[in-house]
Amino acid sequence: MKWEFRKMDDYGELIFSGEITVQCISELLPVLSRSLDKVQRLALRLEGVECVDISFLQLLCAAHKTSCRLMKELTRFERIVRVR
Amino acid sequence: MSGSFGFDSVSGFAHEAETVFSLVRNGTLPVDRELIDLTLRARDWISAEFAGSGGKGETERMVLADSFRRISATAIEAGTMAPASRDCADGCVPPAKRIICRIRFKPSPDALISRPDPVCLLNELRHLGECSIVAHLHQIPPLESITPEKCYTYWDILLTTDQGINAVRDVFIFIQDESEVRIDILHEDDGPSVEPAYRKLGQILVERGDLSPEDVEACLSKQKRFGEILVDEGLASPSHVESALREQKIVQEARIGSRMPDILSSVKVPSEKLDKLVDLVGELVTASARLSRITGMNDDPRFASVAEEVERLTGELRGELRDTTLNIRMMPIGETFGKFRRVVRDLSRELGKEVEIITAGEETELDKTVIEKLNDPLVHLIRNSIDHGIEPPEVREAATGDCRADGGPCRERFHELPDSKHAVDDAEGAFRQE
Repeated sequence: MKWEFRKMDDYGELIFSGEITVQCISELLPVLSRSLDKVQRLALRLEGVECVDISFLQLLCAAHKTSCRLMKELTRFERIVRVR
Repeated sequence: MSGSFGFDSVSGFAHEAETVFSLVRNGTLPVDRELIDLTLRARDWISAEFAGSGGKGETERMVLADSFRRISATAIEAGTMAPASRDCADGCVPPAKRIICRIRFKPSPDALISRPDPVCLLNELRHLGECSIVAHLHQIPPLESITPEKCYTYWDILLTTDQGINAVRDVFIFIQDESEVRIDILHEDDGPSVEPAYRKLGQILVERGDLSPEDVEACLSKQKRFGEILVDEGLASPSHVESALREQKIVQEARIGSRMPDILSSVKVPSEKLDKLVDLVGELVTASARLSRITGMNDDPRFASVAEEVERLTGELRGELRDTTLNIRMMPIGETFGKFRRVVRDLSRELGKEVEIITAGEETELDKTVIEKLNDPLVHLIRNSIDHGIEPPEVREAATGDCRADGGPCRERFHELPDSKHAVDDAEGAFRQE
């Protein structure tokens, strides 16, 4: 898995690529938390993601709950090629 | 039941037969030729009693009752038998029952690290039949408190399958100790029929004319649905409500589906009424043709325009009515074929010949009057074929013909030749054209 964070004022983009599975999911948790802390609106870009598993989907749900609590906006990702 | 109507002799006799059939039903007794013979004779005797034989068949009754008693006593003495040999008399396998089951699958917290992956199990269920899966996500904590490798998700699955409950259980066989798996059967195709709920209040009021459908719609749009109230009150999560609604819909559809064939497969109508309907439609068509003819002969334009208008309005409808009415009288010929089995069975036993009747084209539809007329000639043909056309088993076995190599019962079959004429297998290795 690779990731990149881009920030423009209060808007940020978190760009992922590769496989996001339980093997690397613990790396992703701090990335998501920090990114949400830095911006008011965070967009997840997943065009380069090759496959995900349940652990990633759970993390997205958790991020959504946190963003709601912080009154921030987490926009929906676009497309996942395959769910493993 | 027969006892209630005063047929005491039938009642006592039927009781002996029922004992034997109970043994067949619970697998203690296999169905063999002797039992089929006895059953058919018993049916004939009961029919004769109901028709008022006046006690003439008393000897037959005693013989049959003794035979049933002997069979049941022998079977009870012999105990149970292997289940594999008691499926059907002719070795057929009964069709699998369709079931709908609800599965609550809560994987263990470390299910994402250990194997098998829960998604693989869900995919296995999909292979068993039609699946409706709802994931429950409400136990997933926010980012601050989540352990990302832990499984917080659980699923409700509604599976419609004909693979049997054991196949469903087998999917979870390797994870059942550490996971929570609950499987409930909600519906079985041949299970006890449960009456669907009666009409709702609004439907009754509309039917009675006390309320218009628009009023019902307007009132319903004002009220919250029960599921919405539960979610708003925090008593259930949206996924729980969605899962329950899917269950309601799927099981209701299955119950209605399994009841439909009983309710709608056929309606008995006296043939006189049917004939009257056909006559009336015939008269309508004739009257219509007359009207067209008179219009053509008459020069009055007012009359012609009225006739044209009538023709335009009723022409297509009339044709459809005629075709539909004539089609009502069309029946599949297969029902007639069923009667031949008994004829063939009795006659082949009587003559000591091994005959199996194989029919094709049961779905062909013919007018009911034609079918009725066909019955006697066909029975005559079959009787003649068995009597004069089919050799005794020893002759057939001696011939090379199409006798089965394993020495099983010989078969008499009609084969269609390329020139569409029919031939009979003469058991001597050649086909004689008829």
